[in-house]
Amino acid sequence: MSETVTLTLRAPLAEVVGAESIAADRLAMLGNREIAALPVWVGTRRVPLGEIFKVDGEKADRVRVAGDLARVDGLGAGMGGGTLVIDGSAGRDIGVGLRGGTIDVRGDVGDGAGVAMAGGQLRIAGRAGDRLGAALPGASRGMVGGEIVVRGDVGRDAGHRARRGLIVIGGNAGPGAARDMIAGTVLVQGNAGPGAGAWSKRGSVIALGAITVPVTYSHACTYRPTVVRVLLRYIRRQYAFPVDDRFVSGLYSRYVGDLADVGRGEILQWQTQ
Amino acid sequence: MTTMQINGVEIEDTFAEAFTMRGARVVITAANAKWARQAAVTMTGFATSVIGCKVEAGIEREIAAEDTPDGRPGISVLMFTMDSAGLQQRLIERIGQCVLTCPTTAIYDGLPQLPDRLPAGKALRVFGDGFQASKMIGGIRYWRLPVMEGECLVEETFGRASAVGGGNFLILADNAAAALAGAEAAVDAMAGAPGVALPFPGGIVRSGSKVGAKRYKSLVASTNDAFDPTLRPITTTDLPDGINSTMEIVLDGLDADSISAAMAKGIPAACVKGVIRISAGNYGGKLGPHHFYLQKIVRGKTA
Repeated sequence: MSETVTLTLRAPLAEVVGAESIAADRLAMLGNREIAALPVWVGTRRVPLGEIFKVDGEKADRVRVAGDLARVDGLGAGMGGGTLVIDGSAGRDIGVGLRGGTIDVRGDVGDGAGVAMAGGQLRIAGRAGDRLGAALPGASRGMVGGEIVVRGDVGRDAGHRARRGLIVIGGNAGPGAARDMIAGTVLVQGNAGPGAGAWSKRGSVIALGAITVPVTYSHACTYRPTVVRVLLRYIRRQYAFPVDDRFVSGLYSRYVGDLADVGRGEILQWQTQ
Repeated sequence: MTTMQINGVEIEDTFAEAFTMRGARVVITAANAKWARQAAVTMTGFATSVIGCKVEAGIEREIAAEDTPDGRPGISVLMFTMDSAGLQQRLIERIGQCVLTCPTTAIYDGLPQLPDRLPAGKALRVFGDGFQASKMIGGIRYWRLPVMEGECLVEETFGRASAVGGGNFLILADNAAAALAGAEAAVDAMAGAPGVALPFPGGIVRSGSKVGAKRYKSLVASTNDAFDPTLRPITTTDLPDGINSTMEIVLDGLDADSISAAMAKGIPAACVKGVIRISAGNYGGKLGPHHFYLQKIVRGKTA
């Protein structure tokens, strides 16, 4: 047993590698040789993990993956516990179906991060691609629990069909954030692209920057929602996420919608005055 | 019998006998300390004794804004009942009637570490008449209740502690002013003691009671005639000569150690000029499982 299992990429990748087998709770049960024998996919070829990664340590629920991982997909898929640290950028579908534990990415991630996740924390220091925390193709529900915190910008459709959970976006959000959202919260510190909150049923969009409120939302009032204070102070404390006091104590315009659907969702837009 | 004195005041070699209760800590925040305190004062009104009020409650302490969940000034209230079902009901009633109604307030659980949970906030959500909404933040569910002012935030569940009620000590003095001065000094010394509430008016009881009654058999409690100086010649008195007034301090706590720690501050403070003896109420150790020995506590040992 060691404190950390470290997986180091042996050589730069020419092809995409599917590494859904790399999850902290799975590796916590395995010895060094068993870890090296886990399957990963290089294109359509199934190869042992040890061919792609040098494996140091065993039976630890803290796993560190090092190297240029931009072509490694599916890291932490379905993980149920432990800590997975990605020392750099990662590919697509990181943390898909995450159920528990923490995935800490020190760089950028591709599309589909946190899709259909149900619990745990996905922390991304850089940017994320499209469909952050969204639904699997054809699925009726996106993420149903857990928390995603991205420091940078994200692509389109973040939180699409999310049923529960929290998505925090430190930069700008592409078009369609919180589109078709069933419930849950998407916080955008930068600017939100067009179509944010469209067709939302009970979801909350908290916009600290610019947002174009869909015409199917209706202005309710301007007030200081206590729940936003609690949320912003929580992400400051839990994620060391920088949030200015003016957002914590500020006034917010509440728009109710999407009135073309259930109409129990909201957009809370921070007011400069 | 061991003799102990503080400032010439005898600390009787006896103990306070206390009971197991169920307790909760409610943290109230508001736009400013004035409204947080107003909500707490309202919530803890008519909550001196389970004998007549169904609940015992008191303000524990003020909480700095930086230490509350929403960053606003806060105050914590402790509530105690004889059983869990009663505590759930009293939480619903008192949060609903006294805090939900109070401008700018929000309500949080002050015992998040306890596994036994009372879903008082969940019950209160129906005030929203279907317009309420919930938010999960850091694994805690909050309910957002729409109100005419804007929105009231209440945490879904509250921790339930196995608590201790009825810790006490008696201040026996040669005159009523001295008894009151000793009691006031004790209350001041115990102010802000963590985990402890003094549920009686200003923390002081002048009408200590005994279990049942001699004449009226249906009564649950009646005057503690053994400590009433006006009845000395006509009842079995526990008062030594020269005592003309007695005051009682009653303490409820989230645990026995909290009560002991508060009593260790309060008893010495009560030993002011004119106070003759510090005693305590008990039933011979037959009724309550928690015994607070005055001399041990003053010496710095737990009960």
